[in-house]
Amino acid sequence: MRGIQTKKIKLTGFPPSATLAAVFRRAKEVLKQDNKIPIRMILLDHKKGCANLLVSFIYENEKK
Amino acid sequence: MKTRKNKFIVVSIIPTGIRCSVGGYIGDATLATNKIAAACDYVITNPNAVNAGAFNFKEKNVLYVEGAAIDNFFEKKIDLLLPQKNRIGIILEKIDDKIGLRYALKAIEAFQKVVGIDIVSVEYIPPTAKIIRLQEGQFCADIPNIDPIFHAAQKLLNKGADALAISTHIPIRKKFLRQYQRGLMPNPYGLLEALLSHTITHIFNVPTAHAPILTKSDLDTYLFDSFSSDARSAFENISGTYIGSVLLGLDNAPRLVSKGKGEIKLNDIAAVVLPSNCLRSIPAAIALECGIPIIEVSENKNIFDRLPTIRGKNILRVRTYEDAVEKISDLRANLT
Repeated sequence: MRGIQTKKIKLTGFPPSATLAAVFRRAKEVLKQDNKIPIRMILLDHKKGCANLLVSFIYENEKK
Repeated sequence: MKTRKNKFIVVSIIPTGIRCSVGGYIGDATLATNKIAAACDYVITNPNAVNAGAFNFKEKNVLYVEGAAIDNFFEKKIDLLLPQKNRIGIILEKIDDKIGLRYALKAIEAFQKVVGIDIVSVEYIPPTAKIIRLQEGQFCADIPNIDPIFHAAQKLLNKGADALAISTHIPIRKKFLRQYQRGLMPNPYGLLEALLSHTITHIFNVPTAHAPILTKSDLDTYLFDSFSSDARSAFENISGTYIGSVLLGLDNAPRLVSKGKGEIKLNDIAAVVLPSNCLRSIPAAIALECGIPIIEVSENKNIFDRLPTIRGKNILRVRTYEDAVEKISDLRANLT
């Protein structure tokens, strides 16, 4: 069973020169590593190598 | 394949559910979008900008493209085909409220028989749990089980649908509806609608849009109880069902095709128009990276105005949508 969830995530370790596109690419990678399919991402803030995003994703729900 | 060389194409996005002063209600960005369209060959926009309840008054050169498809287009995963007549499949949530469901079915019949919308079939899904909450100043949503929606979508595509309309009930507390209608809160429907259509777009890569089904209680609130609301939400006061705007939008929405197979590609985009401080999404990030001019309209205030401003070399700040049209005309003149 698949579901959709929305939550805030924090990403760290960006170089000061990181572009916004790089932040989104990294967020996608992080979610995909967790078997989540990102469907919507909004950047809340991005400073000092740290970014907060509100993300919505499809996940596999173990409850049947 | 038709060539679309020398076409001047702009993308105008009004994100859903962030309380935009232009486009934060339903269809209230239509005028601004059509003004931009008058200065371009095509303007690509998200359904939220032009969906107006039972109606949709977008101009023919406004290309109705779901938000996740716009993301995929900017990420160069897909191209767009120029508009053509689509066969539409409808996913309808079989809610217990008979009046709401009958209104939706009657609207489908009306748009099929009177307007000529090509409807493949209606697939019902059982009532679906949806959890809506406020987070970071905007409504957020969770849907524990979306498999019935996927099964219905697949059935409709197997029957020959080119595009999918999804219509479900979104349970909103009356308190939130009242605050929204007075301009004190973002559109409470927006995010959940976006999530459902984004999900179908991601999985099936077809034009998609969502319309809420209203229950009798919602209808009482909108149709009879809210005439003192903000004028920008007026289409909610005169729409008994919302699926009409989605059917009119999807009727000639561009098809989504693999990269390299379409007539409109990212390289064809001359500019991106966004509300104030809304450079927080994939299209804006990629436009910044690629050097596509971004026209930021400061009159279109929203909940992101309280966040730090995003800067970039290719950002052109203007005050109004009329100023944005002037800027677009300048960009076009410089190309010729």
